[in-house]
Amino acid sequence: MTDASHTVEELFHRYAPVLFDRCVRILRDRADAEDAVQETFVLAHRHLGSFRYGDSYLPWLYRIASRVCFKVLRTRQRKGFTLDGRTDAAPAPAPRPGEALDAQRQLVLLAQSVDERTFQILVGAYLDGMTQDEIADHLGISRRAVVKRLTQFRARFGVAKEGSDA
Amino acid sequence: MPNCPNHLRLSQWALGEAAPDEHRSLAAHVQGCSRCAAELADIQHNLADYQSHAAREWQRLQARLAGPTAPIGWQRWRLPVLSVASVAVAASLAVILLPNPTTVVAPEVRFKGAVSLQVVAERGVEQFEVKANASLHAGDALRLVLAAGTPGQFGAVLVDAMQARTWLYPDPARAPRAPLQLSAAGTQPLADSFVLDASQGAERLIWLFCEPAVAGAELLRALESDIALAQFLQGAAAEQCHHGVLPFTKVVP
Ligand SMILES: [Zn+2]
Repeated sequence: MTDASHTVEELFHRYAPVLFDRCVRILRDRADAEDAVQETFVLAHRHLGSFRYGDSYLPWLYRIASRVCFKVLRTRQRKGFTLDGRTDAAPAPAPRPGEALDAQRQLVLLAQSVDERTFQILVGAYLDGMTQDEIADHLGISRRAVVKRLTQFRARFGVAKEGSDA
Repeated sequence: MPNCPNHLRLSQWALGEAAPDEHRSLAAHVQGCSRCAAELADIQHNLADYQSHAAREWQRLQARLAGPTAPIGWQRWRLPVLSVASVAVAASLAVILLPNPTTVVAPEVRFKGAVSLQVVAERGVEQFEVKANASLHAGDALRLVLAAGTPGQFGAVLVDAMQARTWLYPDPARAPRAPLQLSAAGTQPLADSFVLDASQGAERLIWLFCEPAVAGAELLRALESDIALAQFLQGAAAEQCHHGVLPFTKVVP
């Protein structure tokens, strides 16, 4: 799907399931993910007129979904997640063996202390397995900006490089 | 394994949106990479899960898109339910909207018939109480916490600088149209929050709570205009109702 004449209904039926997968991966909660998909399409509906991407709607919707998930994660601070790693409430489910183990948990904890752009970069690097070039391309920013934010992030939180297996 | 496709590419492939040559190389990769095979299985599991109730989710979205949301300046946003601890924090804040403008009732003081509404704003990670004449920003999310000494029914509207009204409760997208029913006394956060857009100016939040005996249609009619509310408050039903007005200003920070 490449041209901008598609209706929200067409986009929903084609992409909502894959956005649900995307939001589940970030939020680790299926009900929250369903709500996040709804919100993604409300925003997409509002901004459909400004859609400019020639390749596919999916990367665009992916970015919107990430922004929505970022907001949801931030609200979870009140649910008991704290930045020192202590949790008062039930923690996010453990990641599958073999996955970059820090990713899920640290996204929840760190979404509260990084800005949205850095969050999108972190999701690309740690959760989506994107290279720095792919992140830059996906977010429409320079590779240098990606490297800078990842470096700052690792220095601040002492996180291993993305892609290094635990 | 090096050269694993990222999750977005894998998702596009699962949707059949990969170009033919990419399709072949991804298929070959996934066959030989247990990690990507597992990731793909995860994707397919989630797709199937969502597709099993996609029709219902589409109906839910349609209802939201049909609602009078964006043009008027509010967007209904269903946030995760507040934890018990958050409710306690919210309840410990002072009352800002009062059943009677001349009477101050602390939320801890519960007696039959007392009703108060508290408006809590969330800005980034901060959460604060909205006081009368507060300045609010685009993007602030507001949620309402109602403390009532009796069961009852509740409605609230937002009136913007142009005197346009937006229903907050009941949700205009839902049928049948009836006030929000509160089956028990106590302090409770109401479902839904409302995210402010970038329009500016003076606004008012007007709410009305009535005991169950009052007709729901009458409650809703009272919130349709300032004149209707004034007439309602002079009638007999008003003795079983409480109302409040919260004026505030929307600014661009
Ligand atoms: Zn692989």
